Order: sequence, then C-alpha cells, then structure tokens
Amino acid sequence: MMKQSKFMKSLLVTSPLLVLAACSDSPQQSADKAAAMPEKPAVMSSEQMAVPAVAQAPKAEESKAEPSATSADKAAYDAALAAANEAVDKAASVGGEWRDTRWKKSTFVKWTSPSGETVKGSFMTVAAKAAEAGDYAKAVELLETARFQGEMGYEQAMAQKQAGPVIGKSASAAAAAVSGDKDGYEELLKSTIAAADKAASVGGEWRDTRWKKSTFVKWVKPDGSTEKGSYVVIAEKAAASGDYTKAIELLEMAKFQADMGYAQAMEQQNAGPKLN
Amino acid sequence: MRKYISVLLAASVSLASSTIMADNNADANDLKDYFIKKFPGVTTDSLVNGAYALDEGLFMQWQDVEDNFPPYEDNLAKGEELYNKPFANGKTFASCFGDDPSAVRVKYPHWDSETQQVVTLEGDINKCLTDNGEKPFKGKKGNLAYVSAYLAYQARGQKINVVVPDDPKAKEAYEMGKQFFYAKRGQLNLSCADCHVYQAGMYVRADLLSPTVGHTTHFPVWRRKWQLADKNEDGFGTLQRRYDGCNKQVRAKPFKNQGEEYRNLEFFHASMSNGLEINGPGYRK
Ligand code: HEC
Repeated sequence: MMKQSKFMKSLLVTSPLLVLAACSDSPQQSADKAAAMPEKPAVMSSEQMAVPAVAQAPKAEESKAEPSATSADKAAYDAALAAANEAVDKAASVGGEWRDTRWKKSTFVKWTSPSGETVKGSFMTVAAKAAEAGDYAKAVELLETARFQGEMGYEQAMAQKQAGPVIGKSASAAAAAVSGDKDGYEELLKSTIAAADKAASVGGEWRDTRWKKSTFVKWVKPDGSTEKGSYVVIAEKAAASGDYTKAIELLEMAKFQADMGYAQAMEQQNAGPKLN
Repeated sequence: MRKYISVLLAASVSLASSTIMADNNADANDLKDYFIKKFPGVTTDSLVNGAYALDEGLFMQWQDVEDNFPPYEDNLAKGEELYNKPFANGKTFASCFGDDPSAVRVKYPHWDSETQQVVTLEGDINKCLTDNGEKPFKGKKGNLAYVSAYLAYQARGQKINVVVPDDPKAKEAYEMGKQFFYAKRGQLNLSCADCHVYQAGMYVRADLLSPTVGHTTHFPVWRRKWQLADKNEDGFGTLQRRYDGCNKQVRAKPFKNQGEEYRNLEFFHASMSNGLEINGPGYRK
C-alpha cells in the first residue's frame, strides 16, 4: 500500500482541480492563470504555515547588530538560495524536480521589477533577477517557494517509488477492491454516499461528485446513446444497465472526490487572506 | 559461520534479482483487457489510432487528413533522402541498419546486452552518424524525426514486439520504465497512467485522452500544435518530444532527451503496444 503523507494529500486535493485547466495550454495561457493556481498547494498543514527558519534567522540578527537593511537581506537571500538549491538538488537526484522550480525554460513566474521591466522564469531564475534588482524580500519569498517545491518533489518521488498499476490482477491487490458485481457496487455506493454526506456536512462537496445538475461525466451506453451527469448519477445509470464495472469505476472517482472534498474543507477551516 | 551466512545472503540476493517479474506481455494484456472493458465496441487493434479510436466523428476528420493531404509528406520524403545520402566517408545509414529499410523500425526499442542499456531507434540513428564521423542530429525534431518517420513508414503493418530478455539488468530497466509511467510527478501530482489509463476516454479541455495501448505505434508524429510553434512550420517530433510535453503539462521538469529515464520509459511504454501494427508517422492535432 502506498503511504501518503499530509503533504501529498494536500497535493492530491489540488490536482484534480487543476488538471482540467492544465492541459493543452500554451505557456502564456498557463502563466496567465498563475494567479488562479496556487504556487503552493492550496491546502497547507500548520507546519508549513510556520515562518520558515531561513526567513527568521536574519531578522533576529537585524535587531541585534542592526546592520544595513541591504546586507541583512542579502544574508537572508544567500541562506534562502543555498537552502533552495539544496532542496532542488535533492529532488533532482531522485528525478522529482518540478517544472517551475529552477528549470531554465520555465516561464511560469512573472515579476515586474522596480524599473518596470517584466521578467518571466522559474521561481529561482526570477529570484535571482529580483535579488539583482535589490528586492531581496521578493527574492527570498520566491526561493522559499522553490525550496518548498524541491522538498515536495523529493517527497513525491520517494512516495512514488513503488508506483504500479491499479488495474487487473495487481489492482485488486493494491486497492481495497470491492467485488466487480452488484454486491460490490452496492457496498461502494453506500460508502460513497456516506463520504459525500460527510463532505457536504462541512461544505466541502465538489461539483461533479453527485450533484444533480452536473453534466461533467459522459458515458456512451452500449446502445450508442450518451448520458451526462455527475459521477454518482452516471454510476447509477451504468448499474441500472447492468454495467457494474463501469459503475464501480465511477463510484471510485466519486468516493475519491468526496474524501478529498472533506479533507480540503477541514484543512481550509482557518483560511484567510494571504496578501503578500 | 560468518562465511555461511554471507553465502546464504548472496544466494538470496541473486534469487531476489532473478525473480523480478518484468513480464511485459502480461502487463500489456492486463492493459488491453482494461481498455476493452472500458470502451465497449473498441477493438485492441484500433487503439493504434490513439484518441481517434474512441470517437467516430474525430476519427472521420482525422482519416480525411491522413488519406488526402497528410501534412508530413514532404518531410517524410526528406527522411528518405537523408537515409540514402552518403556520409563524408561514402557509407550510408544502410551500413548500420542493413540493406532493408523496412526491417529496422520493428527492432526498437530493444535491450542491448553489450552496453547493458535500452537502445532506441533515434539513439541508434545518431550513433550511426557519430560512428561514421558525422555530427549527430539535434534534439527531438527535424532531421532526426524525418529519418525516424521514414523508417516507421517503411515498417507500416509490422507488429510491435518489444522483448525483455531474461537478464536482470534488462528486467530492472523495464521495471524502472513501468514505475516511471505509474508514478505521480510534478506540481499537479499526476502520473502518465492517471491520464492515459484511468482517465483515458475523458476530455481534458479540448483533448480526448488517448489510451496508452497504441501510443507508440504511430510515432514520430506530425502535430499541428508543433507546427505552429516552429519557425519552419514543421510539426514533426519524436516520442520523447511528446514525453517532454506531457511532463511539462503536469509541471514536472522534463527529463534528458534519450537519457536513461526516457529510454527505460520507452522500453515499457512500447511494450504495452506489443502485437499492434506500426502505423507511423501519424498526424495529430
Ligand atoms: C494531465 C494529463 C496527462 C498526463 C499526466 C500525461 N499526458 Fe500524455 N497526453 C495528454 C494529452 C491531453 C494528450 C493529447 C491527447 C491524446 O492523444 O491523448 C497526450 C498525448 C500523449 C501521447 C500522444 C498520443 C498520440 O496518440 O499521439 C503520448 C505518447 C503521451 N501523451 C504519453 C504520456 C506519457 C508517457 C506520460 C507520462 C510521462 C503522459 N503522457 C502524461 C495528457 C497527459
């Protein structure tokens, strides 16, 4: 079984939301959407919200020795840069480096310098530009995201080491599978509804899980006609037509969404503005 | 006693390595069964047409382009020209690949027991050039894709048959490719399988997601999107160019062209189309 850390769970919550937007974009389009897409996963654990150590250290130094603001910021920048590089090197060493962390060809991050020039690049490329322009605060902020992405990429690659198919024979071994018949379907339907109720109870139900107005899931029936609806609605139709395999597949997605919706709502309980 | 234990240990280690499963045909059959169940009415053989196998309307439009004005024709001809053009030393690609150009494509990718690594067609095209004192073709498009396209075209109708030999290193390479395929990566935390197995047949925006069985049969491909991105309006690209694109979509840093990760991935990925017909090059949007 795959062990999932809190980090990875938070990623899982964002990914289904982002995948629809992610595909077939030109780089420009995705850069434009950057505002809507969190650089860090939308759901963060409390440890992650704590101010990173790198940012704190120089402040302490500042109040003690009162060096010029620039040199203190430069020190913070150097420390953040070293930490980011270390984390990204570590991710790269296991093939887990993300696209926009340090890669030279990334154009994901946009930043307008004090002189009005707009710079595009990876988090680390733009951090270097910001530091060059003397904006160490911005540079450190970007480097913290880079370091975070490095850590996530490493953790992700490690967690995925044993990745393998969850279909066919290996599937039933890997997932807590239900039997592919009417009984299995009914069992899964019950637990899916319970999970969706739980998500709804904290305002976390997603659009396409079981909402009657969703038309997201399309299913071509054996007779060639097409049905549209939420995962649960279509699963019920598939089951009614005797296609329990399809019904179970759809319910698995619905249950996954319901669980994620609940987790998301719980982790967002203390959400608030994050304006800089 | 110590010695005894270490002998035992050595025995168990070698046992472990020789029991790596790496049964590529069984893996391919699992996937084929899965897709056949998932897409009633769709045959395994038709999966060589990628996403177009899943939607009749799209299929008709695509077939029209393939039959009437395949946009890759000129560069396919260029591939043939390059293939037959003598190197500075007077030899041609035939000195590396043999006299029958239609017998080349089907041998790739394969495990090379001498260098103990997976060898791809594109890798060997460039190796042939450098072995003959020529400069290798650059990147994942242009001349490299043209020559590869020519060889694919010559091999149309032959069946993909990737063999994982009974060599622990070969099996390990295959398993690494498989792990790569099923591992989530990038900021979006998605695996190849998330899109091309579990969500195959669903739309992401304007794209119908293709099943992974049949993926490699039609490469290299000529894509409208790549054409628009190229100053010479040439849309050709190799399989590994596509890997780059898909990795970028999930916001993972793409891997090195013809590096170990992609070669192992190709070894696994191509295996999943074992038994299907080569139909490259293909047109894609
Ligand atoms: C976010 C979803 C997504 C992920 C993850 C993804 N791809 Fe794709 N891929 C697409 C889309 C969209 C297309 C274009 C439509 C199609 O043919 O499926 C595509 C196309 C392809 C094609 C070309 C298919 C054809 O018929 O020409 C190949 C090959 C491919 N992907 C391989 C991979 C591999 C290997 C991975 C993992 C490294 C991967 N993809 C990960 C979305 C994805």
